[in-house]
Amino acid sequence: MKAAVPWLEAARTVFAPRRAKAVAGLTFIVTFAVYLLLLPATFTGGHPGMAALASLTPGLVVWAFVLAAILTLLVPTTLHVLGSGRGARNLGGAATGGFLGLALSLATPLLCCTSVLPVAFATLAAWLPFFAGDAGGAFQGFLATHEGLFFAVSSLLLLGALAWNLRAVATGTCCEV
Amino acid sequence: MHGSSSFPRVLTVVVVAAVFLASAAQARPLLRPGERAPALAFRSGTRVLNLRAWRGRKVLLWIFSTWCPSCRVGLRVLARKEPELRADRLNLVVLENHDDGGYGGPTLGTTVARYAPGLAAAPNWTFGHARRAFAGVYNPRSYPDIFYLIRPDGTIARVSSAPGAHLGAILRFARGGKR
Repeated sequence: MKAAVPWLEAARTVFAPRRAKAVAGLTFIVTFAVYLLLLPATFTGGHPGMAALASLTPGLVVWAFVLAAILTLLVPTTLHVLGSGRGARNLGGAATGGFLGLALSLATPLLCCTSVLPVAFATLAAWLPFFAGDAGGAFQGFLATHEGLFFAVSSLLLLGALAWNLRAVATGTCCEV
Repeated sequence: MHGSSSFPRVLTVVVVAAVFLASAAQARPLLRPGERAPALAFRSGTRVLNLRAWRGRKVLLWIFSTWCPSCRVGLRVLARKEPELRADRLNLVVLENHDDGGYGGPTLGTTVARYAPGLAAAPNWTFGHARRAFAGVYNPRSYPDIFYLIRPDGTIARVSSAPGAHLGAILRFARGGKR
């Protein structure tokens, strides 16, 4: 309980200004809409749009909500840390984790069942024979059948970035004048 | 100072990108619209059939992997349009990718039964398996799925993937449209 309190205080500090609440609201609307359009692209060979939207499942709606909710908290905290006056140096691991989590969550439905990975593997195979043959198909098959795992990893990376930012705010390392 | 220290990095990125692009350019070529669709054999149940048997008819040739989500949706979407496609005399030759695209999925029969029940007996549908030689020509880059719209004269009208996302083009082709 005692360990959690500084994080709550940090969150209150970040979200106290009205502007932060507005950024959070806007972030949720935009990211939720983007994920709702993007996640079902896995069912249309990586083509987002109305045809993909028709294939939206309850599970994907839940993932879209989870990812958007985490980003809703992450974006204002990131802006708060950046605005502390010491710039991107404060972000540290949050930048890496946040970027990776966001990239993975966006790339997963777009890469599944498209030509991108086969071409990439064929290109790599020119240098590394391991990637020749069925290696590309095996990876793509794993990606297609374990999408939930990739979304879970994305969520963990984004949560890690959020935790890093809140810790920076809580310990005051970001906010020295 | 900053400019001179970043130049080697930029140069390295450009060189690596150029090498990769050159390698990608040497990837096995796909058949293109306008080319003649090679008459190759494939296995359908206990029989060995040849695409030559479909000469003179409109054909959608689709090679897919049973684990591929967009393939399952495509199967379902095409099944819903089956009466229309049959009325327009489109023949569908649907083949499981060689070695199921390198990743184990359900059998073709199980996939069809689950996502397009009743199609196995449809007169204008033929299901089968693309052998290595067939896949080497029609799916040389081992895409999870790829489909060809083939005109009655045996020339290819379109090459694409994910039929569920390109249903409009398929229906136009079936009705006799150019694209």
